[in-house]
Amino acid sequence: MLGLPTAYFLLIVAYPLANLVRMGFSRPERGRVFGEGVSLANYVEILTSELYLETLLVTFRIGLLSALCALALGLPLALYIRRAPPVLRSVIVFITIAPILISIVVRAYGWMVLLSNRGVVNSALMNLGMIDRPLRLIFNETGVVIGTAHVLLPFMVLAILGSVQTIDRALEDAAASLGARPWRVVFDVVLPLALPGIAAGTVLVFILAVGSFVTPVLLGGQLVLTLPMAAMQQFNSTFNWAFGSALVGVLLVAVMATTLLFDRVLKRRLARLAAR
Amino acid sequence: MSDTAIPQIRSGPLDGLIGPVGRAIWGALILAICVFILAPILVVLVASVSRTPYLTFPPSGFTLRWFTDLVELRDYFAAFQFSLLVAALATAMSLAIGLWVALVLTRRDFPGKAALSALFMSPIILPELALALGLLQYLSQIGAVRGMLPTLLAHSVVCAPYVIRTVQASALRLDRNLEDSALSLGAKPARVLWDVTLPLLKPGLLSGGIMAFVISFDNVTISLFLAAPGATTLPALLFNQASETGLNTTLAAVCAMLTAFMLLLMLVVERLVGLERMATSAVAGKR
Amino acid sequence: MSLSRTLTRRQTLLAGLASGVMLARPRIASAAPTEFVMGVNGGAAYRNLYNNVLRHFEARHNAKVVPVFGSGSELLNRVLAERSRPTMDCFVTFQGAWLVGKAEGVLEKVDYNKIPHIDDVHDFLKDPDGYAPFVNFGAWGIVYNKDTVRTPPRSFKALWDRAYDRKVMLGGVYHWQIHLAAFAYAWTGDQKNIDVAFDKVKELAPRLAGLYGLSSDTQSKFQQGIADIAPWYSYTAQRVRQLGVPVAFQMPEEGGFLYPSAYHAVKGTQKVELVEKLIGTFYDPELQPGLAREDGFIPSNKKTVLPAAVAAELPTMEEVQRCHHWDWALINRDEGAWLNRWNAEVRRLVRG
Repeated sequence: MLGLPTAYFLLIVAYPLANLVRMGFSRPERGRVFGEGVSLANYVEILTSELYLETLLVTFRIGLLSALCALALGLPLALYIRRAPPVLRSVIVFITIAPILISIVVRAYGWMVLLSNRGVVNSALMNLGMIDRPLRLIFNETGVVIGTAHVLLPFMVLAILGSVQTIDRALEDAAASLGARPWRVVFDVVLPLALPGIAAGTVLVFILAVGSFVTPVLLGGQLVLTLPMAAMQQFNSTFNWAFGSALVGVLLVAVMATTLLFDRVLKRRLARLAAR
Repeated sequence: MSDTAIPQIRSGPLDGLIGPVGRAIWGALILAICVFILAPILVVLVASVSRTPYLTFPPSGFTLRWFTDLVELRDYFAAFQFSLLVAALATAMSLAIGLWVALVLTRRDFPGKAALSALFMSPIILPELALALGLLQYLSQIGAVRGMLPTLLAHSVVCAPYVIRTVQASALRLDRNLEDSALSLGAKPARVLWDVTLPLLKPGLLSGGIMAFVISFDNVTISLFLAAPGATTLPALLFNQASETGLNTTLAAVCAMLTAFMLLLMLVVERLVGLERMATSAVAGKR
Repeated sequence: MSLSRTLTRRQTLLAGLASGVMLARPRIASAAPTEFVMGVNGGAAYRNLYNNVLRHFEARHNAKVVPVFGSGSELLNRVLAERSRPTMDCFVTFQGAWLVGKAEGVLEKVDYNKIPHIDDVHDFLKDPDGYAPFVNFGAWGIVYNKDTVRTPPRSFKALWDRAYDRKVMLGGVYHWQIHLAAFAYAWTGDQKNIDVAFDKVKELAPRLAGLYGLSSDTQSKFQQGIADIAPWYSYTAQRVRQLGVPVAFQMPEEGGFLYPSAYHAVKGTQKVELVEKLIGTFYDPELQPGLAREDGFIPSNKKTVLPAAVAAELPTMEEVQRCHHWDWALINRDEGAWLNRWNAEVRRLVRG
């Protein structure tokens, strides 16, 4: 029934990735690009080197912080959209989705103009006398997190919106009419029901952030090294395909483990929580 | 249309729940978030009228010459045409795949269904870099990095999951009795699919199709790595040009025009399906 | 949204479809010149290349250039990946990629006797093994902002001067290896003494204004005033100057490093003759002044006569003769180990 599409996906998605992972198990001679034979050397080197473990940590930290920032911005937005009057609702949805349509290269350059030492934000703050010297907002992890959260915010909002839209408004109104304070209504009624969407959105943003490449390159100022960038260095700087492939392999495993963990553990708990 | 079914009795966002002060703070917060979203885009758009050939903000002077320099813009226009073509074909392919897969997944039960479903959804969560590099190695070994083929293959699998999700959402709501009665009245299965099932799935197909188009049209990483001679999409060209020369004002002008095109597209989407409906069902799946 | 309300759904859809078809319709190809697929650097580099060289090459040899954009490394990677079925006829390389390409056997030799003007070309640009000669070159020295730096560093060693604290940027992800080799040479007279270079860079790192990445990054950091001094290429400085960024090039006293690029025929191409013609077009003394003025390339043809104003902006031949070559065999061999050290030891000391 699904023979053809399955074959297509195996051929276009699974096989190339398997091939890439397999290349990660080969070891090239010095000065050669392609590796031969089967060896664990690349993976052993990655998992025992302080540098690459730190890179893995930085990548995950950026992913986590981006997801949390996107959540902090996306949750209010989704809650607002849910109850906004029609016209305002369209406008805000429009603003939320707009970034998906604008090239991420453009947005990165926009951030440079806004956040660099002599950029718009720092000049404004200094003119207002709020700071003496420029805040370091870009070309470090802060910049990467800001840029990544911005790129992925729409996905967070949409994921949460998908789950809060099903909440019965009568439930909230009932709670309010029974004298519950507004914040209690949000915390006790809305949030628990929105939890699956919040979790799904956070995991999605985390996964997309961990694998992103263009934004860290442009906003990290060469000082932030993430796993995808480390892999690209191996391909483009030292021409070591085997090692680069192994780095991508580690990234793949990390992403798949996160998804599995979410699917197996978190989803079930959330379902139970929401059912209560 | 489920959107219109949501009651819109009250006007305020949290009206009835919070007082005027709370509402003002809440409104200010939302406004601040909107500014955050729009700021980096607006900065580039505004800077595109600067007289300087490089990007400055605030722009110095005002000129439209970066929008009218047709020689400079020629390559971008060709890439724009190519991007449209790729996005249209990738959308068509992912609609075909998505319809097929979603119908089978929602209607049949078979061993290994969960694994298959995971396979079809995987391109959303796999790092694009991994997909692009893997495909490049593999396609170049068999000499297939020619024309739009590599870009199209990759885009079709990256876009298909979004269609699968939206069509699944529609298919779950679909009343099977309509199809069954058409069949019992003697209609051929193909006719039933065309005359009954497809019209009923139209909202899902439309939402998924538009999302697929947008995802393909805006993709950078995959398009960048899989670009074959004479076959570069606009976002990949923008990345290339920007990384070689920085964001000069011509690029900002191209971006401004691209933004205008996207705004137009969104207007059409809003008119056809409703943006919100399209986007939430593609990202959040069944609801 | 009032506009959309006045249109019906069907009208909107039809209008959208119609404009989509109009825009997507591929352009109809004219006549039948030979297609020539070239891997080149994009951006302003390509625009200048097209105007100064490729346009003439196409007209003279009835060819149609189809560009594939990428950095030298990216293009070499592409060539390596498709070695069994190449799609490119020719691609641009720098010295490091040229050695890798030779070792991997993905380059095709060219016939020097068929390259126009080859006898007038500097000997150091020719390849002893018969692969394509380098077509243009610049020097790697010190680039600084004329408006903010009154007395520029006169040697690489002067970058360590406290007067330049928080003004200097070095190359990050893509250029760190040539910095290391050059600094090893500047401090010890031998590029092999890489430990000294590492110590020196680590000493400088906390006082840097940052690291630069792609050439666009260097440019925007000069523009935004994030840094005022950088070891960089004479020709990219020239190109950026064309955009109105006030930078100047200082050749270090101990000599800069030469950075030539070549257009190599890809192994398996049927169009080696066109590659030879292309190389000859680069050497055309009529076309070289354009390359020098806009791209800052030092003429590779000894007979080229530059207008005085253009010549004044470029390094002199005397300066060029005192320049050094990087030991690319050494760099290619040890780069992997250096990269790990750079990432682990240097990167974290830079405050950005």
